[in-house]
Amino acid sequence: MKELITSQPFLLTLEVSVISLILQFIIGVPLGIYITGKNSIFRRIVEIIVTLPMIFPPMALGFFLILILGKNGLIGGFLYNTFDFKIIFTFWGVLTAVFIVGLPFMVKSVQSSRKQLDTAMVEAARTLGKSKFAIMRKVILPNIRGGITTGMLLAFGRSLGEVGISLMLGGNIIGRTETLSLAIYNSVYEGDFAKAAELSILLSVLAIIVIVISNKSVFFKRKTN
Amino acid sequence: MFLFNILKTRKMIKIDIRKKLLSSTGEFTLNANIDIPSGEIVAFYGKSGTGKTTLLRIIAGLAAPDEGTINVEDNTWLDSRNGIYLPVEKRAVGYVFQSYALFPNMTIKENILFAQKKPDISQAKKLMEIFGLSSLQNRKPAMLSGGQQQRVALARAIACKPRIMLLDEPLSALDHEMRGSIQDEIKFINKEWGITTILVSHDVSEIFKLCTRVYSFNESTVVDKGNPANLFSGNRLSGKVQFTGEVLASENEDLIQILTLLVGNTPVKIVVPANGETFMAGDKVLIASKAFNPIIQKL
Repeated sequence: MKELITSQPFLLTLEVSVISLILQFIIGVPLGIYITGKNSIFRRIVEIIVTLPMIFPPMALGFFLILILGKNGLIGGFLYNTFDFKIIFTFWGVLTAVFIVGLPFMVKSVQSSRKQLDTAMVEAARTLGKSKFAIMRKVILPNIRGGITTGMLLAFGRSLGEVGISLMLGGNIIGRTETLSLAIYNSVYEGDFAKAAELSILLSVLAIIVIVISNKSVFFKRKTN
Repeated sequence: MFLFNILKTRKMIKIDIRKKLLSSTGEFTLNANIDIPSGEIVAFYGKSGTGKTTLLRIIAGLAAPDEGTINVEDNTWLDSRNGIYLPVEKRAVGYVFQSYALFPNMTIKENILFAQKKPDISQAKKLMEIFGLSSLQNRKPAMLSGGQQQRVALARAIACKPRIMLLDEPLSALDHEMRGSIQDEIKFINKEWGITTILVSHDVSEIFKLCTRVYSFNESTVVDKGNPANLFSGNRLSGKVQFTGEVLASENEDLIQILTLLVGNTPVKIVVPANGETFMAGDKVLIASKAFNPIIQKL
């Protein structure tokens, strides 16, 4: 077991999941709040782009991302030529994949709890002369805390199980970009069913922990509301 | 001459706005040109969908009119022609929402402290005392009854030291007893701090009890009706005794109609001939008598 926990796929999975969770929090919360604002074409476009990975076939999305982020792509080419920085088939490729698939869960969860917030509450804070920043910090954020927690757990759960885009952007390179889910696939492919079983149990335990925490957070939310 | 001087120096809130609104019967333009004397409690009265809440929101700066001006005493809050629009944050209004809109993440004390420009514990304590909230100060709003939540909403609105209090049907969800005591508190606040208070209300007895002036909203126009007695009693009758009330129920029995009326907070039964005017539950009525001398006793 110790061997598994210190193995590269486990550490990589944990590392990219945690880093992408932090990024999803930093980017997802403002995005979720932003797209709940007054209806505008730009807002709808942002919402569609952010939500796309939820329903878009992962392989197709992975392929388009290779085109954009690859050495000859628009963004990838710029990064490679300017900073000698490669995304595809590196740690950054896996991180990008995990970040992209988890982000919609975060954004949608924040959006739905922001929508449920009584608009009069925000208006009340405005009549009390509070600045936008104070309203965000003291009124909106504390009252959508439940949505943020749920979003983070869902995004984290989704990150753990990510396969399709990670495979396309990371390349499933053993010892470098092999995540837990890909390691299970590789073990089965090599006929090492015992290892596949161990890895599957490990991944399941992680998922169950997420579910338990998520249920607790829902319970906590109910109690405070 | 003396009276003229008083009138001249009397501070006013002058509202002259127009805004297109949609009602169940179609589009209409709310046209309000009214002067509200500072320091008084006044009522906006009228049917649903005639723009009472909208005008309240326009005064607060939560909604914008299509055009017009709002002058509060010596300050211009809105002048659409000259592009003046004081944002809601700078208007110093205490708005009490129908849904109370308390901050659920804060305790009662924190709700009040948050409303203040600078935290002032002694003012917060005084407000909690006035509204009987001292023992509840560390509770969250969800743990309070409707009446208690309403008191917090009022205390919070006053905590920001407003120039105008805007109350949107503040007592509609409460029982009669609770209404009575909160009405007394609203009156007390007005006396104590002299804050101009505008109240949206459907309750005739509430308007009589609290307000010195009433503005009647009909489709599209707002009319200053002066003293509430002018609007509700009218000059149609000159009775010795007059009450206004609301029909709670009416039963037809052969030649008579038995009406259950709510006069003030008390339900009373009155018999009227069945062949006269028909009354339905919800009708506002005037009860007057001039044929006898009423018996008045202290209770």
